[in-house]
Order: sequence, then C-alpha cells, then structure tokens
Amino acid sequence: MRAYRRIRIFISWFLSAYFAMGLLMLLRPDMEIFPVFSWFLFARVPQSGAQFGLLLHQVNSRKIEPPRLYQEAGDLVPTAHSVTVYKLAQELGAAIEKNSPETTRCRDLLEKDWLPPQSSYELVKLNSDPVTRWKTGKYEIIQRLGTFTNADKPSGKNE
Amino acid sequence: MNPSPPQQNPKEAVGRSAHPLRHLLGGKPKLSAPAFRLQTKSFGRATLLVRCYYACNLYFALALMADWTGLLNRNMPAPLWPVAWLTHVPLRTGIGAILWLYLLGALAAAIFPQKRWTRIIAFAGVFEWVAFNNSYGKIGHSMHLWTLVSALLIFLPDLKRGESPSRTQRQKFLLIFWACQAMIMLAYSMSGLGKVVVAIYQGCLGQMHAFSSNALAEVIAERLLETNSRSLLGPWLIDHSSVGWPLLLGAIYLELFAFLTVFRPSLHRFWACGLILFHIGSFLLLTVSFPQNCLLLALFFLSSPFHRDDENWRHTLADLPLLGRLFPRQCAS
Repeated sequence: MRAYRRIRIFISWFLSAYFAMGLLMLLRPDMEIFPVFSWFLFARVPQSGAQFGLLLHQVNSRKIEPPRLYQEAGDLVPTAHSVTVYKLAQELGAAIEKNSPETTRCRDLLEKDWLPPQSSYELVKLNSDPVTRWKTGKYEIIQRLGTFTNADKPSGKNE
Repeated sequence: MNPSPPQQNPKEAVGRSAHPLRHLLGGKPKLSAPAFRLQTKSFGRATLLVRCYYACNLYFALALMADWTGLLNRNMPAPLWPVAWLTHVPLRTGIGAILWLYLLGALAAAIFPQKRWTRIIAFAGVFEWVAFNNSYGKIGHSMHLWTLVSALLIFLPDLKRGESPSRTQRQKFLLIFWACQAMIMLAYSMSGLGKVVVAIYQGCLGQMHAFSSNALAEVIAERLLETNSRSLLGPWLIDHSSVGWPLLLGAIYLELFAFLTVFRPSLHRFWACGLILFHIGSFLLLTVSFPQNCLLLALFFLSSPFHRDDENWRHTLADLPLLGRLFPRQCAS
C-alpha cells in the first residue's frame, strides 16, 4: 500500500510540475523546452499589425520579377505552405531587429533546409489586417530589413 | 402551522453543503463491493488498451520506414536538447541510431507491453525521434502527448505471465492509466486557460479577444495567410464570422474544463467526442491536424475503462462542469 501511495504522490507531483513549468515557459521566446510546453495554442487573436515575410528575388539562379512572398511561390519552392518557414521568418525578423546572435541560426536553418540553392530573398516587414488581406490580397511593406542569399550553401532536403 | 420540510437524505444534504467544490471538482469515490468488482473489469479493459497503445506506437514506427532514406540524408539540424549528442557523432549514424531505437523499442513494447524494460526503450525511441523531428526550426506539438503518455506508462507495474495480479497491483496499474488520462486532459485545460487569460489581457488592452464575435474569422484568416493555404470551411467562415462565435466559445469550454472530466468517468466518452470533433473542426477551418491526439482520446477516453456501462445521458448532463447544475441529479436518476 505504501508503494501505491508513493505512486499517487508521484502523479500529483508530475502533473503539478508540468503545469507550473508549462506556465513558466511563457517567459521564453519559443514558449517551450521540449517536451514541456505552455499549450497556449492560438490563444492570441491576431490584430492589424506588423509581421515579417520572405520576399523571393531569385530561386535556382532564376530571377523572380516581380519578387513574390515565399508562401505565394508554390510553383518555385516545394514547401511554400510550410508553417515552419513562416515561424522562421518571424524569428529571423525579430532577431535582426534586436541584433541578436539568433540571426545566424535562423538563417542557417532557412537557407540550408527550406530554400532551393542559388536563392536570394529579402526580409520585409508587412502591415495588414488578416481578414482584410484575406479578402483583398493587399498588404503594405513598411520596412525592408535586408537581402540575403544562400548561393554558397547546400540545397534543401525537406519535403 | 409550518409545513414540514421535504425529507432529504441527510448524507446527501451534508455532502452538498459541506463540499460545494466537490460538485465542481468531482465526487469522492465510494469504496464498496461493487467498486472492487469494477476494479477487476476496469483492469481487464485497461491492460487491453495499453496493448492497443503500443500496437499503434508500432504502426507509427513502421509507417516511418518509408521515409528512412530521406531522413538519413537530412542536413545537420539545430538539435533540441535530447538529440544534442548528434553534433558529436557522424550525422547519418546518429539519425540511423534514432530510427532503429524507435522501431525496435516500439516492436519490443508491442510484443511485451507488460515488461518495464520494453516500455523504457519504447519511450526512449519516441522521445529521441520526436526531438529529432522537431529540430529543424519549429517545434510541432502533435506528438508531445504521445511522448508524455509513453513516459508515464513506464511506471505501470510489471505483470508476470500466468499469474493473476493482486488487488494492489491492479490498483497501481489503473492509477498510472488514470495519470495518462489526466496528462492528456491537463494539456487541453492549459490550452483553454491560455485562451481565457490572453482574452482577458487583450480585452484590457481594448483589442479584439477570443470572446469577440469575429475572433475565429481573424484567427482563420491569419493562419491561412501564414501558409497561403486553403481549408475546406475556413473561407466560408471568414465570410460568415458570426457562425464562428459559438464554435469558439464551445471549444474554449471543452478545453478549459477538460481536466475536471478525468474525475468524472461519466463524461469521458462525451468529452472525447467533443474534443475529437474540435480537432476535426480545427482541420476543416485552420488545416491544423492532431491525429495522434485523436487516437489518444479514442484509446484513453472513448474506450475509458472507468466508464460504467449503466451510465445514461442524464447522468452525463448532470456532471457537466458549470452547466451540470441546470440538470439536477435527483431528476436524472
């Protein structure tokens, strides 16, 4: 019976610790240390405001005229609908704005794994209201943070 | 003359007045002879469900084999901490080790789920694989609960073949099974809590929040724009945003009170149905799919070993968190 009680205490401790640590993860920018996560999924209702986007200028040495957002270039990149690329773009934008060393990590992941070889892209800050943009397709570029290339990096392998 | 008060069961009267929270948090189980009979039955079901869990785990590992060639050729990731050792070994060897560990651990646990050592290897395999797969820039959450449940199942008591387990062993087994249920529902409650807390915060800032009538349309529009994808019902709901209001409120209710339902077996199936429908809705609207979570809900709640066969829908309604008071139990029974 003592072992049974120990298991009960362990379970209470495990669940409480997960809950508390999950909430503490909110203090981290990525909100988790795997596998502890806050589970605050889709908690924030998006407002009109800024977000970052990748504007493709060149893919596989081919110039794109006019430049197109990564997610709108389904005929040029195999992972145009990837939410990972969107998240990486947001992380890269935030890192560049803060002049953080995370910039290198984000660029490495993006350029090695998600962009075709010989690609050139511009990181831009967009302003739009989600529903209005959905209905009209219009967005405004409010800031250009820099143009990068992965010409010397190996090609992407993610499908 | 004053009319005499209606006769009431004194135990029930004391129970309700002295423990007002108990009705919200769940009743105290009575240790009676039927309870012990139920234990044997529940134990039988739970052992079968644990076997099913490891069979599904094996299926996941086997289904992944088709992608092994591509996975072995992947670039060096930005490894999460459980796979940080990958930077110290040849990458192909390291990835191969993870894939073999996942497959062999899953196979061993599917064959001998009653042995703790197999459950430990199965957990190590899932843990390493999920960590590796999430080391490429974004952490997906579809396998998190599967991993956590796998960790908890390690603590199931070792059962010897041919010997019938003692009452204490059965109870330990059921307790760990219940812990898995609690872990699953805790994650949903944390998600619901997040929506409520952030809604209050956004409301204080004067922004649109999760309780606003157009909130779901905004969430869907942003999600579909993020990936320039089309969902089956998302565009329609953006145009008819008021339809999304009750749907989002219902989802928040289901998520927020999910943890309470682990204390109320009569709600297990009902809540699992609700959450599976919620996941189906999320896919149709947002293209966000959590099939592994649906499988966990089906295994641990739709087939819950704690669900009593004599439960009826009136009991279920009476046990609903907050809303249960609208369906009094005395009318229900």
